Amino acid sequence: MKASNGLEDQMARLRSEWPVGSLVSGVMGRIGAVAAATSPAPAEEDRRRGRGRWFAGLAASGLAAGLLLAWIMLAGRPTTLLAAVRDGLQKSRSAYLVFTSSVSGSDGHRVEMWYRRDEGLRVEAPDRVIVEDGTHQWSWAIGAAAAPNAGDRVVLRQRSPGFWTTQLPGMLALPDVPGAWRKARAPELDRELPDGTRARGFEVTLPGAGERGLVLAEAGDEGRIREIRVQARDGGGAWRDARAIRIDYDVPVPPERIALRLPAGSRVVDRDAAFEGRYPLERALSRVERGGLLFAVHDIQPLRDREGVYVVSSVRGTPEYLKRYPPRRRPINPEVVMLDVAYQPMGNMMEGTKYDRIVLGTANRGGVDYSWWVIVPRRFYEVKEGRRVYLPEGDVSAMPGEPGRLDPSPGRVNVPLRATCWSERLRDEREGQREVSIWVEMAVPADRPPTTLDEVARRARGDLLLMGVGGVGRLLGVAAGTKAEGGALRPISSFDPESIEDAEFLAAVRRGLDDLRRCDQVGSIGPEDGLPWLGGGRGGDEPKP
Amino acid sequence: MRSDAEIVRVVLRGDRDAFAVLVGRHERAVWATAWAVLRDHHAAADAAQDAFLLAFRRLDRLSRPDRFGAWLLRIARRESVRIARRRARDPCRSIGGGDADAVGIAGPSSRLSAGSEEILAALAGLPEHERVVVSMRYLDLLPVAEIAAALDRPVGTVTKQLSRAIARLKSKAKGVMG
Repeated sequence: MKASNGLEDQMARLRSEWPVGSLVSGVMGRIGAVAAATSPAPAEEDRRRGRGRWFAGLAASGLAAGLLLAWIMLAGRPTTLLAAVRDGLQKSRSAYLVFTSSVSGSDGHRVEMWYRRDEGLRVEAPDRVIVEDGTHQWSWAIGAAAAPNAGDRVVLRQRSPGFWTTQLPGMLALPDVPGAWRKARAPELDRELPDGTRARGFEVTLPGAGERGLVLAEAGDEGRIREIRVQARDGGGAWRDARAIRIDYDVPVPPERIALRLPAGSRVVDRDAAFEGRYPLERALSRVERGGLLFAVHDIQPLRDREGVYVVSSVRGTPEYLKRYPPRRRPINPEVVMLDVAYQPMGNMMEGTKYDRIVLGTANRGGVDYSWWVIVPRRFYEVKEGRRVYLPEGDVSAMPGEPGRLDPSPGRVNVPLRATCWSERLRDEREGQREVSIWVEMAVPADRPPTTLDEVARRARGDLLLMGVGGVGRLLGVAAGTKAEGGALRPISSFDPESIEDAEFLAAVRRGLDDLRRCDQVGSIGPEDGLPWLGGGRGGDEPKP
Repeated sequence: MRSDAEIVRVVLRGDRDAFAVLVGRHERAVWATAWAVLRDHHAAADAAQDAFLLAFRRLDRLSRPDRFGAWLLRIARRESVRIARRRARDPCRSIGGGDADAVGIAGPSSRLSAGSEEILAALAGLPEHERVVVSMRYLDLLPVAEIAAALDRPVGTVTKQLSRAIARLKSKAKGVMG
């Protein structure tokens, strides 16, 4: 079947521009999360369900649980491809892994890993080094990614995200391959490896669009996996290597290879302390529990001329909530794993009928979501002769529960707290993710006099420079040159706090505010907008006597 | 290659992991369906995920497992319309690209060219069974024989469906293809 060249070319372009990654892992993760509540196949699922709850509960309780989870997973016969790799590594005293990926038009990407059982590992990528000893992980940039001034080199330290449960699966990036993969023999792939081992070949269908895996494993029913090549079809339909994983077991890995040797002149930043120390829950200005979520307001400050209120807030699950709805662990990369509990708005939006929310930044770690934002009153206006004419402001809201003013009395402010639950088992009446919101009235601290938007934007960036290290926090705003895509608002971009200056960030925030202000325009209803007369005839016609 | 119908039966027997094959096989068609309604990459991805989840939950109600693809696309369209209505109640809400970037999810690209948007819109206008085969052939680059095996249809039927779909696409996307 041959389409015209025009269509094929256009489809090829669409493929190359495809704007979203594979949905497989997201969907299967959600299915795993809801399987405890719903399943189309009860018999087998009941068994899995129990095990899934066990794993989820363990994973939520931290590193010790992660190690226990790894032990439990390894105690049974490995079924999936990922479990088989993990099993082979766990049984070896040491290992050397090489990950390569092919990128058209470049030399590709190569990552090496050295592992010694019970001691730790070292990962070297072109731009980063990661060292882990089982309890802590250190990482720093190398090559072009390192700071030009070696004296400024920062080493990030954090509690280990869990090598077996998080880091290794993240590095392998293997989709959920059904357990029967060893039945998919491909004798034509059999070959002898450089160390003389005779390896058997398997061809596995990967549940990603148009991908397959070519696996080489040592002989035997549970032979260790030595090589996985993930292939994807190219434009002509032929299979091409996309990435490969090669594993050598029990090879000499000297202890000094994995020993922690910090770069000369480096400065160690503790990610956990930086994140948790800036706005601890016990020092919050206000705390309120709603729908199983615990909201905290850590900082508030009115803006001058009643322009709005700056807020730093966080949301987390209460212990009961976390027990009832264990959060999903979502590895982002070998260093960052998200714990999905609840999230606050991640983009600018109308807040009820009278206010707008401008989100300045967001950070999430360990299941706690922080947000830096500003709530501003809407200023409704009409455009007359090309100029904005603002309508009188009132102190009453038509929306139930919404306060008419942000400043109900001197020294006090009203703040709306809002979050969406990640749990698949918490759905609203329309099967959407459940949202929790509440307005709280609180006192403004004495050391927080009215200030400017510039000042609070600078402060938000300062906080995120501290709390957002390692990519867990981002600033938000409308980037210069961004165009609206059909709606009134331009898309929000996120910025690394270290790679944007205060002035540039403030401009991005103001663009977002300007966009929302455009939504405040109201138009007068004229006779041409009226409904047709009930007696028939064209709209706008005078009624017949 | 196992057919959709076989995989549906395997999932219903309790092998939940097998559903991943169906997701991988149909994710582009589902996303394209959602995008045509929502015109927003991230909202379409959310809607597509919701559609797969709903399909998984309701798999035991699917009377014709060989029609899984078309059934799934109908669910995707319904989910997308539902999300679009919800967004309409909050018209100025912007979800842009911020949330995905904030958590470090790297998508291959964040913008579609006008031509790609037009071809996507044309694709979404095809009947569901044709959308499935076109997506598998031209977005996943599967050979016709594999599509036929996956959909449990004769190769000739798939070829005819592709021919009709191409003719429709040509008429719908004249501006793109000249």
